[in-house]
Amino acid sequence: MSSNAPISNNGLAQGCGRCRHAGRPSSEWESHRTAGSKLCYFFKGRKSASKKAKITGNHKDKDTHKDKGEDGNGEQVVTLIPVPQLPFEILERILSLVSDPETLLSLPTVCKLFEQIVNNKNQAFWQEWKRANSSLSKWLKHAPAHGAKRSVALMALRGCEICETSLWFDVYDFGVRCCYSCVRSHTICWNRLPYPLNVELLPLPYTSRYPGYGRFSKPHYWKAQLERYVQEHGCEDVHELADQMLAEKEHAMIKNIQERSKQRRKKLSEDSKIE
Amino acid sequence: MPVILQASDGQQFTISKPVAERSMLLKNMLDDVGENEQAIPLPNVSGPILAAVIEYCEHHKDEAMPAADEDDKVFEASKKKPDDIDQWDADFMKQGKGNEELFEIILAANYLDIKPLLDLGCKTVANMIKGKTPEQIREMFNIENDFTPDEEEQIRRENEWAADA
Repeated sequence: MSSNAPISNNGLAQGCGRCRHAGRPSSEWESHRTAGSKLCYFFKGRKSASKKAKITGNHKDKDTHKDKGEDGNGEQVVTLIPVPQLPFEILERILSLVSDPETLLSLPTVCKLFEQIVNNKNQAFWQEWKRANSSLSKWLKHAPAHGAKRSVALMALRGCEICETSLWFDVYDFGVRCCYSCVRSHTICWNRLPYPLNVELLPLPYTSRYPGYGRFSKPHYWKAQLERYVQEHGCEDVHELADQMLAEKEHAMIKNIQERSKQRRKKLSEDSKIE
Repeated sequence: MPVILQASDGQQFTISKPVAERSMLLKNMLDDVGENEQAIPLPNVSGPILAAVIEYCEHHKDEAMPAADEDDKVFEASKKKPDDIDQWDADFMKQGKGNEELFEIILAANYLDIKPLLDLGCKTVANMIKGKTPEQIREMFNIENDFTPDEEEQIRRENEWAADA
């Protein structure tokens, strides 16, 4: 199984430049994906398996594999079962038993299948995870507002995620885990917002817990979320949005007055007809 | 009355009925067919894997089987501490078993419907995954990174909310 092995004459072996998977047609390879590299998907595994057999002097490893074949040199070729070939439900069950937060959060970056399982839109994986790790269900406290994965990142990881230096941190309701100085520099109090933004509370998550003001304080909004909210309404800053809201409010008020006077006039005319 | 099982490679194993009944598939089969001297073919399980499964079932033959409606409760209870694996079970899963053999045991447990063994296999793999970086997980289980660099970057950024805060 050397890198210089000649390509088979039947033209079946394509893709992997080394083992050619015992010269089987590519339709039979299933997981013999070589799009990303010139090497066989199984090559690394086979290499480590044969290495292990050499070290231990035990060739039983080879014999117990599921599928066996022979390459051009008469050497035995062993097919491994990679994780993605396990049934979806079993793989989901395995991943749901991972309780280490850092590993759990990095699972979606392993491969598309893992990403599909962990980022499942119907949250099936997280329901299963909650069942499997009932003692850790507090990690999903923020799941309704910020999603299960984000909630685990908030509750299970440590340190300020803004400055990444401070070990002192708190988890705030607007979905941030950060230190006191970061929360002070990244938030704005409701009473600093122009009228009517400050009165008609924004549909943004906020925290009423603020460092230095005791447990309860006035609502504080995350500046970046507020800016995004302002931009979504086609405005440049909070003052422009406040003016827009005020104009809308005045317009609604005038319309309301006109409608009420119309109704009053109508009622008066009906009364005069009766008389 | 002993039960004879025939693996996919033709290897035959003679086991006692209580051992066979650890598998819900075999239990239902034995209930339906009754006592029979013919070997039960198991085309999805190879000889060495079947031997390992039998070893597990023999060790646990005296333990109470979960009733069908209690499966979930038992599964939940057993999963409360995923790291918690009985010493014999841990040794059984480690003993000369590579990843591929471990996965074959999981598949066999799934096929034969042996919930405790399936659970044990899943826990073992989950414990192997714990504390590993994505690269180490890929290497350990022969998983191909099928993300393009852009997709990988996007997924990574999605995990870091603070990046766009």
